[in-house]
This record gives sequence, C-alpha cells and structure tokens, in this order.
Amino acid sequence: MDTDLGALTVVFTEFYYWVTVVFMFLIHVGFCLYEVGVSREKNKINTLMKNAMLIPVITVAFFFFGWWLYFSMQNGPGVTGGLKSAPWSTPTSELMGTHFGGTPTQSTVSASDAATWARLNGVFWAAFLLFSWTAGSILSGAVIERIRSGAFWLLAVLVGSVTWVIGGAWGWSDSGWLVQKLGYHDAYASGVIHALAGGSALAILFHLGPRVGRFRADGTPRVMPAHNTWMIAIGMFMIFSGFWGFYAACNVPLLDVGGEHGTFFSATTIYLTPTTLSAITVNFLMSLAAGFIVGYWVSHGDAFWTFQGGLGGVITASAGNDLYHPYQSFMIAAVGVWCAYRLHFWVERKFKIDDAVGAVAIHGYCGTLGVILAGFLLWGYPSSLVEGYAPITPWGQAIGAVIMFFGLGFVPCFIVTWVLKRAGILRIPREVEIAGLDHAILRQETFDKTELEVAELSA
Amino acid sequence: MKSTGLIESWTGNPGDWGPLYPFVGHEMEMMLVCAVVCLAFLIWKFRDEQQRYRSEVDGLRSAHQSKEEN
Repeated sequence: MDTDLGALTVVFTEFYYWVTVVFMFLIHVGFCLYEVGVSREKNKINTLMKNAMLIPVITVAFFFFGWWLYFSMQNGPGVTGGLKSAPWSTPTSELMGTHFGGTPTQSTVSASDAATWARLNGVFWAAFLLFSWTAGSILSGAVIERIRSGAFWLLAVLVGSVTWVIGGAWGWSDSGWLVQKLGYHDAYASGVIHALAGGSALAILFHLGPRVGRFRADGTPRVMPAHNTWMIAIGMFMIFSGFWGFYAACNVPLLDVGGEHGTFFSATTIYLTPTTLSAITVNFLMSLAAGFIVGYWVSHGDAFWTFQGGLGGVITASAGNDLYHPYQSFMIAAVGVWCAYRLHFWVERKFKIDDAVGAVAIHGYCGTLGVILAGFLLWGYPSSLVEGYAPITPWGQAIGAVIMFFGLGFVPCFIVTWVLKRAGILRIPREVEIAGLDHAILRQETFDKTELEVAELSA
Repeated sequence: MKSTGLIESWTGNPGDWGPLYPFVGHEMEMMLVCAVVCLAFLIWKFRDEQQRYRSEVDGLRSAHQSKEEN
C-alpha cells in the first residue's frame, strides 16, 4: 500500500472480489426460486426455508473451520508435507477482523502475513464462502420434499464447509498436492464443486429414498409436476447470472506473470496460470449455448431439461475453460449434457434414485466428465507456473475426478447420512410427507382466515 | 478517554495500524460465544423437528381415524 501501483492492485483486487460476491449471491437467490418452483404447492415453504437457512449455517461453520481447512490441508496432509501454517485463516486470528495491515498483536501472525492479508482476507473468505453455499444448494434441490431440515443442514455443513474445502485445497489451489503430483487442472471447479456435490447428493439420495408415490409398482417413475414453471425459469436465469460472478471469482484479477522476463500483468486462474477475462467469457457463453441446444434436443423441448442443459454445459466445460477454444467449449458441453441426460434416466430406472432436480446428473456427471475430458484436451500443458509440478494428463484428471466424486463426495455423505438414518432423524414421517410439509402452517392459516371472516361478518 | 480498542486517534500513520476492532485479545471468548449459539440452534432444531413431527403424525392419524368412524 506504500506505492501507487501496489495500492491500486490491492484496492482493485479487494473491490473485484467484493463485486464477485454480490454477483454470486444471485446463485443462491436462483437456487431458492428454482427449488420452490420445482416443489409441489404443499411443500413450498419448507423447501424455501430448508435452502435459505443453509446460508447462516454454512457461513458460521466456514468461519470457524472451513477457511482454515482450505490452507492447512493443501499438502494432504501427508502427501507433499504436513499441515500448513495459515495464521490468517484461524477463527481467532486478528486478520479475520477489521485490520489495516500494521503491526500484528498476535504472536502467530507475522508482519508479512498482516501486510498481505489485512485487506484481502475478508473478500477471499467471502468468495470461497459463496462457493460453499453453492455446494450446499446443489444437495438441497436433489433431496426436496422428504428430508428433515436439521439433517440437511448438517450434511450441507459437511459438504459446504469440510469436503469441498478439502477438495479445493487439494486440487484448486496453487500448491495443492493433486496439482503438484498429478497436474490436476480444474479452473472453474467442474470437479471440486460440481462433481463433489453431485457425488454427495447421490449418496444422500441412496439412503433417503424416493418421495412417496414417485415410482409405480412396476418401477416406472411418475412425473411429479412442478408447481411454478416461471419460478424455475427465473431461478435458472439468476443462477446463470451468478455464474458470471463465480467465473470471475475463480480468477486472480491482476498479477505479474512475467517472472524473470520482466513485468507482465494479467488475470490468472487459481493456479496462478495466465488467462483472460475475455476468453473465459466467450467460453462460458459457448458452453451455455451448447448445453441449451443439446438439453432442448434430447428432451424434445422440455423447459426444465433445456435450462438444466445450459447449466450442465457450462459445468462440463468449466475445468478447462481458461484455455479452450470456444468450439472446444461448445463440443465438450454438448457431449457432457447428452451423457448426463441419458445417465440420469438410466440411474433413475435402474436404482430408483429420485433426484428431484437432476442435480446428480447436471453437477455430478457433467462435472466428472468435464474434469476427465480436460485431461485429453489439455494433455501435456503445465499445471502451474512452478517448475517441477506434474503436467496435465488424462490419468491425473481421471484420478482427480474419482477423488472428487467418490472419495470426497460420495463416501463421507454416505457414512454421515447412514448415521442420521439410523438415528431416525433423516426423513420426514410418511404421514406428514403425504399431507404436505407445510400442512401445519396451512391448516393454521385456513383456521385463522375462517375465523377472521366470521369476525368481520359479525362486526 | 480510553477506547475499547487499540485506536485512540485517527491522526497517526495508517501503515502502523493493526486491528481496528474493539476488545483485541478476546477473540477466543468471542468465538466460543458464537459457537455455543450455533450449536444450541442446531440442537434446538433437531429436538423441535422430532417433537413437531411426532405431534403432526398423531394429529393426522386421529383425523384419519375419526374420518373412518364417520
């Protein structure tokens, strides 16, 4: 902050991430609208509150331990080193509060930590937190209309403040062990957010079971009609709008990448490898376009799958959208959405998995496929500016995809959901589910309304 | 007047200023208070749900029973 350029860089970076956070808030607004739209009339208030309340629950958990996990777990620990020291990220650090970067008062915080993190810690924390909400929201849609809110929030904390953060530390940081050892590349989080959250949702659905009446006696699924298509459409458009912020938040806006060749400022990915906002904007739009087209095509114009297709297209191409040509983004997105759509219905028929919003398909399958495909298209590219890190390879990406979907996604949620089920606190009782989750509220409202009408008539 | 924080004047060198929030040094206590509130909320939620669903199920069953009797 003591030179004009230094001050400009810091203040611009601080403002840049602040803007991304505001944009990303739209993702959550969109998820709420979308989920409530998909739910039936009798369940809409419960659906809204289940999703909305993951905001405060994940936020405090992420403050207490999520942010620290991201920095401390980058070596595994035990693969490329031990737990990393990150005194700016602990819940009692002075750098988590208002700070000007001067002399620190805590012995664990160095003067250099204070100077580096004082202004950026909060906005970085918030940007990561919004990713955490997204991870939680991905689960939320899949399990609507039968999960208990308390159990869901616990699972949302597990994914939003623990498992995705560990995935991020391993594969979505400039020195994560997956990047160092396997050249894992996942620029816009196809794997660390979407595959991981999709795998988590699948594990929860396995124990939770389908909604009452979802499958006929012969095993064929019934359509459970959404109560408000417009809410779904507006919600999806908001998610797309927020996704711009997500893409921007995945970049470092202004960094000298010139090294020994002199100063050269550029935007970079989280791996500090160069890219441009221009390139990722075009690729975002081309993958969105491909997703929409294929979604519309395979579903014969179904509105729900067309919008979901757009989202799935972006998610599939995201792993390599920092480097792809727009045509490559388009083709990868098209392949991803086609595969996810087919897989969704195959899994639904075969295993009687009731994924109310297709979250496992659009996030899980598209994200996993996107990570794997990036290994082929970016084969041999350096994964980092640091010499000695493994390059990007198909096998590195495939191992990374399996770790994200199964290792950090499916397995932890499978265990915790099993425990919640055994404790009898996972699923809403059958009678209440049939009557509707808002049954008690609506009954009281009807009673009050009738009483009010009688009172008005007799007045 | 002594302040609750480390800042007693805004006229010093800003580059020297560290934490600006009040009660510096009490971060652990503040964290514990917040943690207790959050844990209490979750425990309340699990208990409340258990109780609420039990009474709703009872109500729905008795309503169903009286419908059948009529």
